[in-house]
Amino acid sequence: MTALTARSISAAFAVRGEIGRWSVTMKVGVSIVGLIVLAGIFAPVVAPYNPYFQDYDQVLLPPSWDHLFGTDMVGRDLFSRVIYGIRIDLTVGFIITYVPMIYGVALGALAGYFGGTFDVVLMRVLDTAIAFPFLVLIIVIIAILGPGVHNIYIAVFLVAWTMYARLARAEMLVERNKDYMLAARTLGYPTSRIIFRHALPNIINSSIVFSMADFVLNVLLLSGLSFLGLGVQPPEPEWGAMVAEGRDFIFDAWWICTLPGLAIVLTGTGLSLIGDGLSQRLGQRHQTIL
Amino acid sequence: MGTDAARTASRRAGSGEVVLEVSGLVTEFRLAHGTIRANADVFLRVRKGATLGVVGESGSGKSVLCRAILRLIPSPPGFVTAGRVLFEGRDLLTLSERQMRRVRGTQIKMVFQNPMTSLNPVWPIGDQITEGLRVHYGLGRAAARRQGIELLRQVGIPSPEARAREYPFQWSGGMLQRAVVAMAMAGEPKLLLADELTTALDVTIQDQILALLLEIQERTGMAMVLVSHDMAVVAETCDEVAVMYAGQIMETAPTKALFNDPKHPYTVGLMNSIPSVERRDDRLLPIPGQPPDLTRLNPGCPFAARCSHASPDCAETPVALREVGPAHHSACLYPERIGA
Amino acid sequence: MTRAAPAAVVAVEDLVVEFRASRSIAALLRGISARRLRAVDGVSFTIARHETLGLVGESGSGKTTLGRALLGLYRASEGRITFEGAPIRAQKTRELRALRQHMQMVFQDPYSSLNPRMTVGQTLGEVLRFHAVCAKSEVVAEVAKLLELVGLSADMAARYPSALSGGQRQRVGLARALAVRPNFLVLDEPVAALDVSIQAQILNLLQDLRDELGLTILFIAHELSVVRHMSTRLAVMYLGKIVEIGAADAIFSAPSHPYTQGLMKAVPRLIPERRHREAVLKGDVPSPLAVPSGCRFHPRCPMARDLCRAETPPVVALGDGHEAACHFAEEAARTWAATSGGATV
Ligand SMILES: Nc1ncnc2c1ncn2[C@@H]1O[C@H](COP(=O)(O)OP(=O)(O)OP(=O)(O)O)[C@@H](O)[C@H]1O
Ligand SMILES: Nc1ncnc2c1ncn2[C@@H]1O[C@H](COP(=O)(O)OP(=O)(O)OP(=O)(O)O)[C@@H](O)[C@H]1O
Ligand code: SF4
Ligand code: SF4
Ligand SMILES: [Mg+2]
Ligand SMILES: [Mg+2]
Repeated sequence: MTALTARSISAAFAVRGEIGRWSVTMKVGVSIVGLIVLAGIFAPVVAPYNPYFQDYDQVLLPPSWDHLFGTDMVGRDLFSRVIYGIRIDLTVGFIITYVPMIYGVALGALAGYFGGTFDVVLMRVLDTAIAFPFLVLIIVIIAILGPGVHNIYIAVFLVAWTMYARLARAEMLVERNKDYMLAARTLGYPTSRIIFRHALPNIINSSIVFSMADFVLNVLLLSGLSFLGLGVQPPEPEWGAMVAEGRDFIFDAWWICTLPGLAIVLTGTGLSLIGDGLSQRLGQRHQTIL
Repeated sequence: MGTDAARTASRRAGSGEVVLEVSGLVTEFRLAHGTIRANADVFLRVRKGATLGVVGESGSGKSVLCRAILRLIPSPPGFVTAGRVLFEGRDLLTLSERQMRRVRGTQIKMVFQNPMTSLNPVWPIGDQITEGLRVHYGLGRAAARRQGIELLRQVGIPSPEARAREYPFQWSGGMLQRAVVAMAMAGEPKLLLADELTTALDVTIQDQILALLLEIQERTGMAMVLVSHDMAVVAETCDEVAVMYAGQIMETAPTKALFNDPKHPYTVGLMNSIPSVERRDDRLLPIPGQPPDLTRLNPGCPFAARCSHASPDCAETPVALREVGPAHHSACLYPERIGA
Repeated sequence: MTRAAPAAVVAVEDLVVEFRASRSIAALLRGISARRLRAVDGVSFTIARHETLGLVGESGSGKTTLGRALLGLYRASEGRITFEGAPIRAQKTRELRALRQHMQMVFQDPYSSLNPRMTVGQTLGEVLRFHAVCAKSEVVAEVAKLLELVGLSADMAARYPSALSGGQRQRVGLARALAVRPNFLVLDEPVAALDVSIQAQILNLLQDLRDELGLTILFIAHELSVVRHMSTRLAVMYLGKIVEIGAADAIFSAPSHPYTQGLMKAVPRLIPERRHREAVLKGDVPSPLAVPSGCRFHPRCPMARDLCRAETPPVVALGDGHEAACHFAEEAARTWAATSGGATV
């Protein structure tokens, strides 16, 4: 299933000669996110200090050449913490975006393809889930389960697939009746092959475009929850938690909450730009096919 | 009757008042892999009360031509780069968008192939028909409603008072096509552009719609451009025919002359391809080869690669319409070779 | 009983295909059954080996539904279909998979009948590999052969459908259907979306392939000239029923159902003379959700009488397998011969 999705995604991007056709937006977005991801992967090399090391001689230092982003109230190097924070925020953000996407798309595709009772029931679940604001639902679930990353996973996994299921179902309803799908049936292919190999690459575009916006929201969600103390717990270098820690020092040491906040904004901007670029690119291809 | 016959006669002689004259029209689509010249130096003329048929290969630019006349080419990637579209003496290409909207709303109407896509599924049909009357003629709700019902009656919808309140999904394909015609008739346009109006319909409904259009035309003197790839439909309904290939007009002539004495090898090829209902042929005679790639046309005749009369110079010498008979023009360099 | 292969490749008896309108969850829970639309309503016929049966009729009369039911794509609500003596049952997927190597379909719309994300080579290669038509190592060569068979060059294999013209796509669709070497083909309006010169190329190709490969064909179309060119026998559908069936030449020379006659008269002629006649048939095709009583053609029939409104017409045999479902079929045939008859057709 994962392999199939991966193949569909790569098919949707059709790597060959692709970059040449990217818009400026897309290129800028990919550069920003690419740099951030690289910095995260090579964090031990990029970060000058240990992100957990508390140096009480170096407390609340403003940004300087020694400490690019300054230090926090227990003397940890903020730049190093922000760099290590990439690992947490992007990884968690990625997981809570793409895991629900996989089964959301699969469920929506199945419902759209088969219709019938399964579809009716699924639609009802979707309608119910969408009647509540997403954030409120997450917070309620976490309030019940208790704080922590694991419970964020559970809460988001419970709720976030619904949008993907809706998108995939709608696309599948259109795709199902296209003649090439019937042709695949006439040729006696198994249903799973028809749905996942033939239809999926054609219905996944809108989900991919949506996932970029979703990714941004999920990074904000994680840092927001951590800010509220419901997510990643100190001393882990999570951006939202760092902003929360710096809150008390906002007047004496603005950098503690501002600079991790900037990291969030920059990541969000990069992802949104990719999202815009993708929707242009994939939307355009949609048109040439039509 | 007498005036009817007179009008028909004058139309056949090609001497009615000219409603639309397109000349030197060039429409290009600038795409990543090259520029498509969908209309290259198109010339055509439509007279009052007459119908011009436009036939030709799929992709030869017939729909683009209709859209270019109404300035409905999506831009980018499409651009009208040269030419004039004279409608009642005014060049439509120089009008402001506002003036153009007015022309589209009141004087030139276009109907499209698929009735389902030109009607809004969530609006009552009656309201959709009268929307134009209210917007462009400032008719009140009640007056517009009366008009709409009258239009539906004219296109042969039974009990139009009740049916005007229904939604598109409650009507059959043939009825919807008539609703589209009714919508186009609102405000009595001077020119109707019908792009493959009957292609999706089956023969008995096609027959009804064509009868309806001809009847409206007799009554109002409306001019029509009828795009179709059914040569028989064109033969039955049009006074003049323009044959398009690769974005250019290859031949234009009064219908009778075109069918009885074609002067372009492509027109001859088209005629030979048509199967007949009257008898059963063993073999059809298609034009060999494939249509050309519009991004890579040679400087000469676009038909050269598939033409059985071609000489080496055909691919190099630019072609243009030349008179070959009364009101009969061909873009072939060697029209005399046909039939020889 | 030991019989050789049956003469009829396909036999259809009293076939009914229904569609259900979609239901709301409330209806589902309360077990309310949905409204049914009978797209095919009691149809029987056979197709003999090497025969091409043409199927014409108004839009929405159930031609596509019938063709798809023959391949087991839709489920028969009533009646039965046999293919080479074996029953076609849409619900028996495994059974069907074996049969599908022998029966294939070509679709109307060349723009939606190919997967836009697969190259021509991938589409054809998948069929060959999946059905193990040839050894894995020979797939590329076999794809090239198939392309050649339908008159395309082998280098088309690398192209995506978006880079092909309508006619080229229709050829690829044909190659895909032929890849499993079927002996029965359903062609659903294979040339309706093509312009006349491409249409002529495809029709010639179909004729060649039919003769070369000995195919049996159901040819669906709404253009009578195309059907006449291709078919040996002809069936005319109206609102879910076959109203006339027989040898193509017999029907074209002596149509005996008023609807068939209407069809023939409504065909535009290639005579460059502005028409001065009224429409042949008035009124619209009724909705299959509200089928008229008695003869379902009566609201539009120029010959309709009281009997027609009250009673469903019987199938009248007119000799040589020519049948028409009309109370007054013989009279209609006589009128045709006497009036328009030979003159316009
Ligand atoms: N919006 C567009 N963008 C790019 N190319 C276009 C666009 N619209 C039309 N074209 C190209 O212009 C050419 C002419 O197209 P057009 O639709 O006018 O053909 P046509 O003669 O109407 O064909 P058909 O008989 O199939 O309707 C084609 O090559 C087409 O691909
Ligand atoms: N999947 C479906 N669900 C519900 N109704 C359907 C479905 N497919 C077809 N129908 C209905 O069944 C009837 C017959 O349709 P069908 O497509 O078989 O007609 P057709 O003769 O092929 O028409 P055309 O010439 O337009 O292709 C129509 O009234 C149609 O609306
Ligand atoms: S100009 Fe030459 S190639 Fe073109 S149609 Fe005439 S003879 Fe044929
Ligand atoms: S039975 Fe009556 S209504 Fe039906 S086709 Fe025959 S004459 Fe017409
Ligand atoms: Mg067109
Ligand atoms: Mg059909």
